[in-house]
Amino acid sequence: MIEFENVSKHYGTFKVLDGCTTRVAKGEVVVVCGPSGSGKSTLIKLVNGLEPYDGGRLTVAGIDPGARGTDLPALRARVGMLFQHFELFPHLSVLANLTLAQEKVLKRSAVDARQRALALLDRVGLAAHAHKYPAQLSGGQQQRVAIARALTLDPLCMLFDEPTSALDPEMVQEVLDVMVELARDGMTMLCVTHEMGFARKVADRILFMDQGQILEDCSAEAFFGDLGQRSPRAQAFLSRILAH
Amino acid sequence: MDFSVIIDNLGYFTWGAYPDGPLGGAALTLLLSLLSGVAAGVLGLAWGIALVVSRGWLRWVLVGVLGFLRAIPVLMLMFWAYFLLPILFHVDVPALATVVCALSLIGGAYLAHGVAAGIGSLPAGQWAAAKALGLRPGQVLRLVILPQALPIMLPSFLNQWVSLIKDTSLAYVIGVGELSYVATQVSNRVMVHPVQIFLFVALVYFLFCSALQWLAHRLARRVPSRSHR
Amino acid sequence: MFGELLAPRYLHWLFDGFLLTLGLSLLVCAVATGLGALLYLARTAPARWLSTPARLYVLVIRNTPLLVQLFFWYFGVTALLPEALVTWLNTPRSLALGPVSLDWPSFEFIAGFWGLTLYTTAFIAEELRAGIDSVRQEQRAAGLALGMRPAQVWRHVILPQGLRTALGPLLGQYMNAVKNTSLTMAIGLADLSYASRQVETETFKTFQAFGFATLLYVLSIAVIEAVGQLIQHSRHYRRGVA
Repeated sequence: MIEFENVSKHYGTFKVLDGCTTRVAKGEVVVVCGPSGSGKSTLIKLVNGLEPYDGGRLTVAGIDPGARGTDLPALRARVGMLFQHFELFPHLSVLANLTLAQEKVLKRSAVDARQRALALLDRVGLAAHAHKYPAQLSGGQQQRVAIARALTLDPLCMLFDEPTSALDPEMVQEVLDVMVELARDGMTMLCVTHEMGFARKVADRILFMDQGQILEDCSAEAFFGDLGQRSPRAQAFLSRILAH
Repeated sequence: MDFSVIIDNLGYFTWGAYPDGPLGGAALTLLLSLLSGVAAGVLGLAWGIALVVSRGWLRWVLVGVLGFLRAIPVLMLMFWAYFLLPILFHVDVPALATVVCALSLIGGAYLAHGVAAGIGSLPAGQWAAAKALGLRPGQVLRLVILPQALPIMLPSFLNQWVSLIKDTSLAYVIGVGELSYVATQVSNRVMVHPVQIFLFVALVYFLFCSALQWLAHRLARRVPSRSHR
Repeated sequence: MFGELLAPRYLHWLFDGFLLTLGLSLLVCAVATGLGALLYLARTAPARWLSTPARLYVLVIRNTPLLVQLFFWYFGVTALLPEALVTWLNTPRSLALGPVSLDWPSFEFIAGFWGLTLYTTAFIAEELRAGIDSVRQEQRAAGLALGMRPAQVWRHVILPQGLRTALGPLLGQYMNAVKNTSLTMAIGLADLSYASRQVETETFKTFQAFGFATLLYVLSIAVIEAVGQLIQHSRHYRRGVA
C-alpha cells in the first residue's frame, strides 16, 4: 500500500530524512516511534503530500505524491490523517465538520453525507454531540470526532501524527480504544505515537527512527520480545519512555 | 517637478520663525511629539495599573473616562482644551500646552488599555507566587509584574507614539505653527507648488514615523522574549 | 456660560454638520472595506508587481498624517489633474432618484471623501491581514488532508475564521473613520466639528456648541461599539471562536 524506497528530504543542509526504506502492506498497523526531531512526523506527512520529498521514491496505492501531474487532492481524499491538536474546524458544528469534505470533495449529496456522518459518529460513540461545536467538546471527544471525520471519506489508509500527545491522561484511553477497533477492522494504519501499550496490542510492525534514519524495522513481537537485541539508541529511548 | 520652493524655505520648514519668533516647523513637531509622548506614557502607565487593580464603582468611572477619551475626535478635545484650560488655570495658556494636554490625554487612554492588556497577559500564578513570598501589593507590581509586562507592552507604546507624531499635525487647526501649519502658509504664499510642498512635508513625517518604527524593531530584537509555558 | 440652549438656527447648523459627518463616514467605510479587501489580495499576492506596490502604499499611508494627505488631495491634486477633469469635478449637477434628488457634492466633499477612503483602506487591509494570518497553519493542513483544493480550504476553513477574528479590529477602524471625518473641517467641509466651531464663534456659547457636537460624536462611536458587542456575543459568532 505504502512503499518508501531510499526516501530522503533536506531543509537546506539539514537532512530531515536520510535514505528511509520501508513498506506498509494493506491491513498492516505500523507504529513509528523515536525521539523528537527524528523525522517521524515528516515521514508520514510525505505520504499524503503535505510535505514534498527530495530523493528516492514513494508510492501510495501505486501513486507517487511527489510526481508532477499527480492529483494530490484526489490522493489525499483516499488517505485519512489525524493531527496532534485534532484540527477540527471550530466555526462549524461537529456534523458540519463531517459533511464538509464529503460534499465538497466527494460530491456526495447533503442527505448521503449527513447519513454517513451520523453513522460514523455513532461508531465512535459521539452521535449525541452532532450539533455541538468543537469548543464544547473535551480533547478526547474532539480527537474521536476527527477520526470519524477522516473515516467519512472511506480512506484506504490512515495516518496518525501523535494523536494522543496533547490529551490529558484520562482521555487517552478513549481515543486509543477507537484506534484499536479500527485496527481490528482491518484498516491500514501508520501511527507516530509514544503509546507503547497500544503498539503492543495491535501493531504488526514497529519502526524506530532517530536523526532522520529508520534504525529498527521489525515485527512487534520481535521488538518487544527481545529488547536486548535492539540497537543501543532504541534501547535507551525505550527505557526512558517505558519507565513511566 | 520644481522643488526650489522647498529649498528656498528650508529654514522655515525646519525651525519656523525661530529665532526671530516662536519655534515652529519640524522642530516644533518633534517637541510636541516628545512632550506628549512622555506625558501620555506616564498617564497610560498610571491609568493602566489603575485599571488592573481598581474595583467596583471606581473602576467603572475609570472605564467611562477612558472610553470617552477614545471616542472623542482629537480635534474636538483640542477645542475643549483650548477653551477650558485658560478658565481652569486663570492664566493665558499657550496653544502649545493645549495641544500637549489633548494629545497626552488621548494617548494615555489608548496606552492604558495596552498596559492593562500587557499586565493581564502574565499568568495569574505570578501574582500568587509573589504574594505568597510576603511581598506587599506595591512591591509585587514594581518588582515582579511590571518588569515582565513592560517588554510585552513596548510595541503598543511605540505604535501609539507613531500615532502621536501624526496627530501633532492637528495642531494646525488651533493655529500652532508646527510642520503642517508651516506647509499651508508657504503654500498659500507661493500659490504655485502645492504638490511639492505637501509631498515634502509628507516625506518628513514619514521619516520621523519610520525612524521610530525602526527603533521599535531594534529594541524588539534586543529584548529577549520570554517563553511562556 | 452653561444655561441657555442654542437657538434653533444653530441647532440646525449642528444637525446638518452631523448628517454630513454620518453620510461621509458611511460612504467612506463602505468603499474602504471593499477596496481594503482588494488591497489585502494584492498585498498577499505571490506576484511581486502586485504585492510590492501594495506594501508601499500601506507603508506610506500609515506613516503620514491624514491631515497632510487631505491637504495634498485638496490643494495639490488640482495642480496635477488635467484642467478638463478639474472643471468637471467642480461643476454642480444633480441626479434625480424619484422624489429625491442628489446634488453633486462640493469639491471639498470629494477631496475629503477621496483622502479619507484611501487612508482607511490601508488600515482595513492590514486588519484583514492580521485576522487571516491568525488562523493556524495546521487548519490549512487539515483542510488539505481531507482532499480539499486550496481554494476550497480558503473559502470554507481559513476565511470564516479569519473574518471572525478581524471583526473587532475592523469595527475599530470604522470608529476611527467617524472620528477622522472631523479633519475635513481643515479643508473647509462643513462637517460637525466645523459647524461646532462656527456656532461657537457666533454665539460664544462654547459649552453648548462643543458639548452638543461632542455628544453626537460619542453617541455615534457608542452605537458602533454596541453593534460590535452584540455581534461578538451572539451565539452564532461565539461558537466560531475556538
